[in-house]
Amino acid sequence: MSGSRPAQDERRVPRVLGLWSTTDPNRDDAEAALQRIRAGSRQGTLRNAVVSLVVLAEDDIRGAMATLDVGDRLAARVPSRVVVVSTLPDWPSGTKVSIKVGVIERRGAAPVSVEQVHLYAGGEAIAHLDAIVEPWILPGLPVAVWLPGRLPRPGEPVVADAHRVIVDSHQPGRPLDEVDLTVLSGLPVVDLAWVRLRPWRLLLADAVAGGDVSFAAGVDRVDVTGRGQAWTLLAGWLASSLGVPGSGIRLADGHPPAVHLRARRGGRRAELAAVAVDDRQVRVTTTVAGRTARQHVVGLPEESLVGDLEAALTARSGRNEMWERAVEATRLVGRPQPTRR
Amino acid sequence: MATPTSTVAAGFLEPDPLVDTDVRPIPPCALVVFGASGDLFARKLMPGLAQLAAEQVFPGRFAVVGVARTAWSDNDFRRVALDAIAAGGQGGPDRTEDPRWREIVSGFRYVTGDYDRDETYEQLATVLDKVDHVQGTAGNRLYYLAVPPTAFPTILAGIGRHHLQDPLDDAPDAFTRIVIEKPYGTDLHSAEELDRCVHAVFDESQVFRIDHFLGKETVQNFLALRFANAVFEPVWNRRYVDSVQITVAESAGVGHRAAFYEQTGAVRDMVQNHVMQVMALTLMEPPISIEADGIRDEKVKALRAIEILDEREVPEATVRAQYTDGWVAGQLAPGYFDEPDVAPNSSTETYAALRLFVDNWRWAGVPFYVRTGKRLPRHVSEVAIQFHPAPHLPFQPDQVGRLEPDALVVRIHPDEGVTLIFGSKVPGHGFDVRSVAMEFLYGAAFPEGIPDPYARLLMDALVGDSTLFIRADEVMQAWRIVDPILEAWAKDEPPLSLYRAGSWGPPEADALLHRDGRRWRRP
Repeated sequence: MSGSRPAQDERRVPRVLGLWSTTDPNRDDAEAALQRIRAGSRQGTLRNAVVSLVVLAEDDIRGAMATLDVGDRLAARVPSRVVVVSTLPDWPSGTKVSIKVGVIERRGAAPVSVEQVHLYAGGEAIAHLDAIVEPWILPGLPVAVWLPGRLPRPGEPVVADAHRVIVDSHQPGRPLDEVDLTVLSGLPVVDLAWVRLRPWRLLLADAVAGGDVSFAAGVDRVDVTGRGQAWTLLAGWLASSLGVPGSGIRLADGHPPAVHLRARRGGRRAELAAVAVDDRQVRVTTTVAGRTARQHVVGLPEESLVGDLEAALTARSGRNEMWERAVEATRLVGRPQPTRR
Repeated sequence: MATPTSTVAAGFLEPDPLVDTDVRPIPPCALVVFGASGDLFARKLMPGLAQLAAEQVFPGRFAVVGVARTAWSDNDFRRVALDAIAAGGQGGPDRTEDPRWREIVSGFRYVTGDYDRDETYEQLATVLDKVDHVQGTAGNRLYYLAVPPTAFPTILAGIGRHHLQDPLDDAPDAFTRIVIEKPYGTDLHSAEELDRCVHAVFDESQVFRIDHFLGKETVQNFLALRFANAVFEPVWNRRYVDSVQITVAESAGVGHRAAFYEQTGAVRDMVQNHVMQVMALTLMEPPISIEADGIRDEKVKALRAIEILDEREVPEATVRAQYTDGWVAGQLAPGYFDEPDVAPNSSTETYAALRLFVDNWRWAGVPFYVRTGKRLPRHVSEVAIQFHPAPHLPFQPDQVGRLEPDALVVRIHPDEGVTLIFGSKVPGHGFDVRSVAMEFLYGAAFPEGIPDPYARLLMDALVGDSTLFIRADEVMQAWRIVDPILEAWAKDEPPLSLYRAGSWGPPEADALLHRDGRRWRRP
């Protein structure tokens, strides 16, 4: 599953122009250091970020480093200043910063500047993250906050002021029906699980209407098979959008991913089956009264976290009511049942 | 561009409850391309289709049916489709290995036949029927005329005779649309004649007249720049604007297109379509909404406000010229007469410069200088809004000697973007002021690249959004503006000038602006 087009050039990483780090940074010193690094390169003088992406990585240092790597590759698609924040409760109270300035050179096109800021907050300073992060936000540009591995906490300050909050409702070990929408409501949330499901949502939206038989109404049974919470979200989406009651939804933990819709239209039984052939293809089959009416194969894009983040950063802003209804409906769907192999 | 508010996607049979802002599948459809063995299909349409496939735009129920005289099998056509993409189209990526593209190409069908023979359309109808059943295209059709304009009436008549524009009995809600490439006529009379042929078969709502210029992001950005920002619109009028310069320059010569170009010339090739569209977007009033007719109504009003030159005005307000040999980008380029297929006594213009005025409150008295030509020093298209100088400069003359008038330049190609030129103090003692440029580059803010215009326009035609296509009244009004110029030029008024390949045009074009106390920008 992947939500957006694959990058032709995701391997394009920035050429590093300079590094700088210090403890308990003074904002003016940091700005001067940035300017010094930029001044050393003609291409570095142009800052073209269109967003500040703040990543709240908590105490997962390895995760934070991986995030910086993703930020490097993301910059080729969405010019951004990436501010990764690591919180280390066992450290003495205070902050440390590492800055990297780079440039992505492109043949026949304008270079893209890249700035990465890794902030470490220790001890009591963690209680004041909003004040620690604020000076590193590019003025006048939107701020997106990405919470890898968790959902926002009630009233979380850095999140509260964000223009976009990127989460992933697909969390190992935490059932989706425990997602508290009251915490998320009012926040401009983009769910990476929802973004990753886009190819499936698109092929199902296409298959449901306008084919040999329409499944836009009259669906009384939905079966979804897949590994992970994203498939629960897909089942919730189908249940809420097609008006299928909880008793008509079956969710199975298995592989390959598959969706079956059953409907009664004009006294005939119709079935739509979308079954993954492999990672890149899904076979869609429509059956009417037991006979195959049509079968075709739909290609899926390559999976890419960078592509998903790009889609999340460029998605339309505002509340996504369809996603909220899908999350809400996961309570009706129940938890996935294991399938026999 | 228009965002449907209903969940009924165009061409679908029922409201689709799964449609969302980021999930809006295009309807099932058979794309029927007349001229499928031609250059346009291979170089422009195919890469556009492959880009759409890579973006997972096509549903499973999509088919391409090619029609042309060249005797090909379905497999020949599929091979050509893959080769066209392997060549990268217009420098685009090689998508031949993309399984989504291969899946779509595997369903390509081809009909060999002359456009004037009934058998061609009978065979096409049979193939379309098969495609509906096998590929589930549900009777929806998008015809695309990728053929020379002389073939338009023949094909339109063939479609009409065989009722291929009519919905099928078992798919009464299916759509049929037609995309028609430029040039749309060679003058007002022939354009009206062509329109009669079109409307004998299709309703205007089914007709999508394509000008790939409108598919360019930077051309569309005119709408965003003007109507999504409060800062520009207040100064976008005669009170602040001194003049506007529109440049559409090509460094290439006519090359192998001389036979076509001899019948066309710079005005028909560029001004009547590309330049008039860009001018309409520059002139137009804010539309009520970004929907097809909202925008096109305002564009037509803008075109109607452009003063039509009379015969006496043409010699002093226009320049026509032909290139002689010269150096372009370090290479010696032949003169127009030395290009293959150019008539020895040709008076076809390869360069045109015009001064036009606009009769409305917003633009009265503001000259619009337009120039287009081949073998100019650079391949560049831009619109430069030149502002009046500050009413009073409280500086010594030598302090502002290097100060140009403020200008806002919208670059359509290359380095797509916007530049604001304004005065700034030179650091140091004293108070010298000189012009500086503040630049926005599309490619820097959106580094993933600018979508292919054909991909964009094909997608719009498939979903039935005609915003970026040209309505009949726009075409006719553009011809009304250029027809008197062409008529005067046919009488050798003004005489044909010459310019060296690699220069910015003839001295007469410079004189056109000097008379008004202005000069051309160097784009």
